[in-house]
Amino acid sequence: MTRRRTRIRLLPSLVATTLVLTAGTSALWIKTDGARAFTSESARRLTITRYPRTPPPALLEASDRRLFTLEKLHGRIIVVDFVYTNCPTVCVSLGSAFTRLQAALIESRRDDVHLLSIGFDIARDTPDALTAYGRRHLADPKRWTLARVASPRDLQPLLSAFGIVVISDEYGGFTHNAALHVVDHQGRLVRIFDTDDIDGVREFIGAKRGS
Amino acid sequence: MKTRELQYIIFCVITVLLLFAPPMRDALERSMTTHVLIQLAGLATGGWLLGMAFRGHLRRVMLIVNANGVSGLVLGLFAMSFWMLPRMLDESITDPYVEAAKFVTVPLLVGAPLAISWPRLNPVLCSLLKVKVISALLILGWLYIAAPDRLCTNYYQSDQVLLGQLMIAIAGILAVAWSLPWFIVDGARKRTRRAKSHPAWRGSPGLG
Repeated sequence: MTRRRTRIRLLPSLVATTLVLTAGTSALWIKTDGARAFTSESARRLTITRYPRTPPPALLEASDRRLFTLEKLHGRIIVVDFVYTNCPTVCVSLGSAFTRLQAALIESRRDDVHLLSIGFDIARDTPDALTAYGRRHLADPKRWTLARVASPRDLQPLLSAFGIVVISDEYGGFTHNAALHVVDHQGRLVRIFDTDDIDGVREFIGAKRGS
Repeated sequence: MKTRELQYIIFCVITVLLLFAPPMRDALERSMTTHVLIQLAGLATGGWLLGMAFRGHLRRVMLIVNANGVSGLVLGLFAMSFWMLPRMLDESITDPYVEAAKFVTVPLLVGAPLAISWPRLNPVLCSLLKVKVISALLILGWLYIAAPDRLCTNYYQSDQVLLGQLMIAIAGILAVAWSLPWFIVDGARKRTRRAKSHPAWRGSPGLG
């Protein structure tokens, strides 16, 4: 008799625990995009893969001081990275990634793919600094453009569209989420790769040949 | 309502308001370490105080829906893991709605349920929880130290490594603090006495 009563009394707790378990698992599942994105960086990449978006039409100033917009490059695949020319660490590896990518493009005669490095340190990424950066990384001007935004107020919208978060560090430099961003023929940001994932980029643009 | 309970509520409100005040909030959120170890832990503590205030009042309800403190414990653990997601740390800084949700749900869904459930916990479950907390801190700490990339786009890698090291240090402190009593008092006699008095011991399997 007592045993029976105990069992009935425990039932509401069992139901409550089940409800909490279900709600908790669902919340975690939804908030991690089905256990695929635990960090905001992986969430950013997943969102772009699922919903490609067109960056805002910012006016850019190239290292040869010519002005152009991203739209001018439509019809070509553009691989974009964000750098600051004073950067001692990540941007150097980004630079070498572009150097390797450029070599791969020359080798496979991909004239429909263009590289674009955008400097976000408006004060110090002058055309001259960008030119020097390009020279350091053996940039071929026909395949690799280095630029900064022509007007500082266009910077933040552009960074936001790409999902780049820049935080200044204690040494006068910046920390930012570095990656390789692929913009397709129609000017949509379609995929984001790790800085060292050259093979991933090559494979992806290889599949897009002539499309 | 007793004075004691009123005090708990006042302390809870003070804690949460202090942490919510913009200067304090900005200062703590500037670093991943203080964001997690001071702000989130502080909010949970505020909730714990609130839970202490309502322990007595909710006794009858808890007897029904929170037998042995299991459902409250599960709620607290899930809510805690949710806010520990690197994504949520980032989002709570960039999105004001997420920030507001954090300040409401960490006290109410992490601290309060744990405070209410803690004394109800079956001692076996309680020990299991302690082991679990220590191992979770060790694993997370190791992950934060060893991760090749930053887990939060708003924080430095050096900050993440520091947080990892502190988590491992806390795990060590907890391990010592929780095992120290074994070397001070021989539990065998105390336990038999407790088994006679504590209903949870009577109900636990194998102890009859």
